[in-house]
Formats: sequence, C-alpha cells, structure tokens
Amino acid sequence: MEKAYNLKFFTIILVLLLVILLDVSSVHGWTQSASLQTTQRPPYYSGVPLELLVVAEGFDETPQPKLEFEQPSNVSLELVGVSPNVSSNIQIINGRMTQSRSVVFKYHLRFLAKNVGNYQVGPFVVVQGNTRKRVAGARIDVGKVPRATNQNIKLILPPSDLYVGQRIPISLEWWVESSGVENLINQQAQVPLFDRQDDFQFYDEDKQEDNTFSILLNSGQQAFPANVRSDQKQNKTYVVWKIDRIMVPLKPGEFDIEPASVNVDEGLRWQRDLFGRRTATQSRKLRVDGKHLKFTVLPVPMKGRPASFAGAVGKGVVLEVSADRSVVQVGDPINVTLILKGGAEVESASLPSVADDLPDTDFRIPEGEIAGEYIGDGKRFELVIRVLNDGIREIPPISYSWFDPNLKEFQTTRSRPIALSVKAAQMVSAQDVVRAKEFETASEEKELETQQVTKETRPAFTLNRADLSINKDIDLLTHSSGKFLGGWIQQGMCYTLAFMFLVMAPLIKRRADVDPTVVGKSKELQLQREAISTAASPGDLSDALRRMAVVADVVSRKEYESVLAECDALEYAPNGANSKIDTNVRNRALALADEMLEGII
Amino acid sequence: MNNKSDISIKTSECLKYLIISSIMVFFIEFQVEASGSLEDKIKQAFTAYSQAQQATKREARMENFQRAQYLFALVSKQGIEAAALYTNIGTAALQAENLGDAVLAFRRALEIDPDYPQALQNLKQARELLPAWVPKPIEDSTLDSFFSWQRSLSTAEQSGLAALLFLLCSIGFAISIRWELILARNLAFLPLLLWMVFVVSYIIDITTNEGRDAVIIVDDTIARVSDSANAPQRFSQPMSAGMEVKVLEVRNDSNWAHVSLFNGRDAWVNFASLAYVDAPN
Repeated sequence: MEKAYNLKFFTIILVLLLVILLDVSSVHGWTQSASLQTTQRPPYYSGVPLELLVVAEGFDETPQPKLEFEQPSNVSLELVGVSPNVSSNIQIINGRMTQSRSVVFKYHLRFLAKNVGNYQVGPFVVVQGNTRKRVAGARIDVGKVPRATNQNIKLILPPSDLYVGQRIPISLEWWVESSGVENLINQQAQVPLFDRQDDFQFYDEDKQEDNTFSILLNSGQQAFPANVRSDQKQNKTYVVWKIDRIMVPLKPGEFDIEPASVNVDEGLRWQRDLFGRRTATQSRKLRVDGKHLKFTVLPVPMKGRPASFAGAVGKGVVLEVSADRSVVQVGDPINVTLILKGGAEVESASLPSVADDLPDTDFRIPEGEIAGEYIGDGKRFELVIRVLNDGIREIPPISYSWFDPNLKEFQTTRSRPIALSVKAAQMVSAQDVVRAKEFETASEEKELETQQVTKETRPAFTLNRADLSINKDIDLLTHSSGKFLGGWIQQGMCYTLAFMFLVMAPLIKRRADVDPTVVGKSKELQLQREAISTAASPGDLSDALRRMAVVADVVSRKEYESVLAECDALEYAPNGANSKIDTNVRNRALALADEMLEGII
Repeated sequence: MNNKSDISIKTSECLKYLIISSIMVFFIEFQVEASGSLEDKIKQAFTAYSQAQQATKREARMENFQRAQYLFALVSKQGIEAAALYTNIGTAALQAENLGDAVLAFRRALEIDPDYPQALQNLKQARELLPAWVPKPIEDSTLDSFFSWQRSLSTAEQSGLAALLFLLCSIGFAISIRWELILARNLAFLPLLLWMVFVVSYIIDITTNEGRDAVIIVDDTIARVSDSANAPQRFSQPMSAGMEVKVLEVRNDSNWAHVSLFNGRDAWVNFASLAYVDAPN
C-alpha cells in the first residue's frame, strides 16, 4: 500500500516535471513575461475603437521585440505603436547595494468591430531573437451602441450631376439638440467617404475657426475646423457643427458610400473639481448614423471637345498671358508666361497645345507637353516661342477650354493679344566682311573678328532691370542740388577765414599778454594826450601834463619842467586866464606825452 | 599821430567785421529760384510721361517719351542741376530708346550725386543695351572699395569738404595759440591730415585722369584714324550712341575730338557727335 502510494506520488512529480519541461521548451524563456490588457472597461461597442495593450517585460532592451498575431475575422486589429520603457533601480540597505533594471514594452493595438458579436483576439507572441513569449488571447463581446435620439449627421453633396475632375464643395453637418449639448463629451466621427482616397481627392481650405470637429480616418484622427451655429428644426433648437471640404472625383462610376456616423459619450453623473470644472464620473456611449450615400460620377463628354481642352472642369477659368519682351528681332526667343486661374481644379490642369493659336508659319513653339507650376491661386506655365516672320504684330489670343458642369457644355476663354514689334534679323553678308589692315596688330585683328561676330548680337532693347519711374517731387526737380561748401565762394571764404584765424591768433595773444595796469595807464595817457591836444588854456594843458607824469615816468625831466613853467607863467600872468597856448608849447607837451606813452608800451 | 597800440586795435576791429561778414556770406545759398514756368514745364513733362506709359501704340509711346525728355531737358537748361532731374531725363530717354541721351543724363546725375541709386541702376541697364563689342567702364575691384568713400562724394563736395577741414584745422591752431591749449593743437592735426588726404587724392586724380569724360550722343558715329572726314575708319563698325569715351584733345579749327575708349583704343570723332559729362550749363 505504501509502495503504491510512493509510486503514485513519483508519477505525479514526473508528470509535473514533464509539463514544466514542455512549457519551457515551447517558450524558451524563463524570466520574460507578457500579458494582454485593455484600457477601457466593458461594454464594448461596434464602431467604437478599443485600445488593447500587450505588455511584455523582462526582454532585452535591444533589439525591440516583435509582436506576432493573427488578424481576426470580421474585425480590424491594428498595431498602432510600441512604447518601450526602461527603468533602473538602485537600493542601498545597510551598506549593501542592490541594482535592478526593468525593461517593459507596451504594444498599442486598436480593435474595431463594425458589427455586433463575440470576437476572438489573439493569441499574441512576443518574439526577440530566439526568445518567444506567448500571450493568451481573449474574447471580446461587442454590443451595439445605443442610438442617440437627439442627434443627426448629414453628409451633403450638391444635387447636380458630378463630373470627373470637378471641384465639388461638400459639407458634413452634425446636429445636436441644444438641450443635451452640454452633456456630450469625446465626440468622434467616422466618414467612410473621406477614406476613399483612390476614388476621390479632398482639399481643405485654410479657415480660421474657433471650433474643430474630430473625424477618425484610416490615417488616424484628424481635427477639421468647424463652423458652429444654432438652427431650428421641427420646433426644436439644434447646435450644428459644420465642416466644408472640396471633393474632386478621380474616376467615373456609381458609388454607394457607407453612412457617416458619430460616437459620443454622454455624461450621466458629474462632479466639479477644485477649479469648478465639470468632469463626468459616469457616462454612456451614444451613436448616430447618417444615410447611405449613392451618387454617380460622370466622365467629361467626348463629344464637342475643343482642341484647347486639357481636362479642366469647373467654371470661370481665366487665362492670363504675358511676355518678357515686346520688341524683338526675327528669331529672338520670347518667354511667354501663361497663368491659369479660376473655379476649375487648376492644380492638376495641363496646358493644351497652343499650335492652333500660334501657327508654325509665324511662330516656333516648343514640342512636347509644358509642365506647369502651382502658385497658390493658379497654375503657371512658361514656354519659349520665337517669331519667324517680321510681319507679326502681336502674339495672338491663346485659347483655353474647360467643361462647365453646371451648363454641361464646354467653355473657351481667350487671353488678350500682346503687341509685338518685330524687326528683321541683321544678316551678315559678304560685303560686311572687312579685311584687317596690315598695320594693325594681331590682337586688333582678333578684336575686329570679335566685333564682326558680335555685330548682330546687339542685346534686345529690354528694360526689365531698370527703374523706369520718374521722380515727381517738383521742389526737388526745380532746385539745384545743395551746394553747401561746393561753390567756389564758400570754399574761398573757408580758406580766407582760416588764414585770418591764423593771423589773428598771435595778435590776440599778444594783446592778452599785456599787464592790465599797463593797459590802464595807457588808456589814461591816451586820454590826457587828447586833453593836451584840445586844451584851451595853459592851465588845462599843464594839468593834463601833470596827470600824465603821475601815471608814467617823465623821460625828459628838464623839458617837462620847462613846459610846465611856461604854462604856469602864462596862466599867472596878468590877464593870464584869457591867454592862449602857444603852438610851440602845445607841440612840446604832445612830444612829452608821446614819450611817456612809448615808455609805457 | 597814431602809436602801435592804436594800429593793432583798429586792425583787430577790421578783422572782426570781416569775419562776421564772411560768415554771413558763407551761409548764403546761391540757388536759382524755381519760377512758375519751370513748374509748368515739369508738370507738362509728367503728363507726357504718363501718357506715354498708357499709350498702347509704339509711335505714340515714343513720341510722348521724347516729349517728356525734351521738357525735362528744358528745365535743366534753365540752370537747374539736380540728380533727380537728370535721372528723369535719362529715364525718359531710355524709354524713348535714345541711349546716348540716357547714358549722358545718368552720368550727369551721378556727377552731382555719385550714390543716386536710380541713376546707378538705370545706367547699368543702359550699358547692357549697348552692342557687345562696346568697351565699358571697368567694374570696381576689391582694392577700389577701399576708396569708395571718395567716389561717393562729387568733386565739388570733396573740394568743399577739404576747405572746411582746413578751416577747422586753422581754428584749432588759432585756439591753441591764443589759449596755449595743447589738446586743441593736437586735435587740429586730424582735420589737417584729412585735408592733406583730400589734396593728395585730388592731385592723383588730375594727374592720372586723362581727358574729360564724354558720351557719344549720335548713333552710328564714324570713328576715324585722324581728324579728317576722308580718313579711314578706325573700327569696322560705327560707334553707338551711349558709348562712354574720354576726350583727349579737341581741335577747334576742324571740330574733331580725339577720344579714347575703355579698352585703350583711340579714335577721332566729330566733336558735335559727343557731349561732355561735366558742366552741362
């Protein structure tokens, strides 16, 4: 009994070991682990993408492990991206250091089921070199999103016939009853028409709108500028989000487009945060679907196509033509620029042949198709033509045709003619050739040859690099330019003044260096000398002379005494008050005054 | 009887009055006042130019451009020397496809204001319209850019600036003599040095510059090897209007001018077929 018990025990251990060994051999990994997670709680809805996460741990940092999985049927499962996360941890406890390193790879998958059902996802295998880690799959129940009764979505196309190449304005409108708008969060629309890139091309105009409308495309989420307005319908007020796009059909045919839809969360319970903002604590998904869209794209009729039609469809096309020169000689190249503008899809438009407008008897035009350049508001084509006939007086109007889908017929526009002045080319005849003179040097001969060759290469009279505006400042045009310092009078004055300064400076310096007392004495002596010369009586004369003697030294003392004595004698003589000064005495007094003045200076 | 002090005082008084009167004359601008008739002509020229620009027929365009050129030229003949006026003459002449007058007018505008941008631009364009064989003035080299300050001033401006510098220098020296200021003396050396630069530059200019600048104004002017109508042609083709030359010699008795081209070649041309760039009035 005991033996049987032992045998049974060993058998169980052996089986367990075998199971472990088998598991190890299949996975080839001991330390790696991987798991499947989701960021959202059930329920899951059709048409609403679900994010799945495969978290792989314990793998080496490089190379990045690959995630292998089988594509489930009837649903879309896409690997959106991988986010590796590497973290190191060092712990020191009681002086003992332990270091750990963690490498985590997160694989983001987008699961999208269009129909209600139970879908198997996985299994997944994380592969790095020879290491494979298997992650068990899971089943996901996908239910139907409750239909929103207060919303509507419309994709609006023009009711008229659509043609290939036509620029068709289309709009998407999302109507929500105004009473429920404030409870809606996380709006996301799907518009299958916008994903038909093989059949249609879409253009968005640059608009500055305050609101955006989010649409989930195959290429990812994209926010479009949206115009939001309030509208009335069946006595209810709606808030309407509207986006506008331009659709250009690329191929003819009948199209049945799946309806556009909007998934939105409706908040059921709310709470306010510290800043008073509302956040939903409980919500439910709502969905609204539009209508199937059926329309036909027609090809441009073959019947009645003009020669100048090159595939443009639209309305109001304008062709502007300009030339870089208007005065040419026969054979000279003329750069002709054609700019196509208007309501047609000009970006993809090509230039029709201009051979019908520019006959080959008068013009030489380039062969082959002319490539254009899109310049924002139009398309520019450039071609070089040459005039072959000096009788040509203009570049004739150039035609451009397009198909007008509203009128359902071809239209043709013509550019304005460009006036030309064509001169006959200068031909070099034998008479024009002059033999070089013998006495001229070799270099001169060479120059003559060059001149002869270049005689006919006189540049065309183009003024494209000149500034041909005229100055209209009448004041500027009727007055000579300022001649400040430029005139000979001013310059002569400059030099005269300069020499005067140089002459005057020493004189002024000399005057300034004189002692002020001497200057005072000199002035006093001058004054008294004047008094001597004008003195009416001998007394006045002797007074002036004495005052001078007080200020300055008397050089001729005897003479001074003698003059004073004579003056006194005259003054004190009987009737001396009326006596007159003798001229000799006055002259002697003036001589004495001059001597004293000289002595001072 | 006057003594020395009296003389010096009177001399200084005279100098004082002379300086004051000199300064007054110095700041007087000698300009010809624009009369009403000048304004009328200018306005007529504007109208003609505008009509020419709007005309679609070539003949009408040419006629109006020529009229605008003529009216602008009439104003310049009244003694008005303005770079803007000459540029207008040149621009109208250029539009009238009259290269000789255009080049001449642009050169005259640049004589007055060597930096006048429109004249520089249009002269360059006019030179490009000349036949390829016509030698053109050599473009400035890197070394020349060192002296660009000199080219940006007209000859009159250079000589005027030199005179002003000499005046500043003499003022500096006068101050240094009167008040014995060493700083004033040292500062006076700077304008003196600049004045000397201008003088040396002027001397170099007049010694190296051979002949007076002129422009051929008559198209298809025959260049001869000597001053005779019977002399052989110098070049295989006639000279184009707008060619810039230097006049080396003028023989008044025969009305022939000896000119040199920018490639060093020389020729004799009829004096009436050229016009000097400087001193139009």
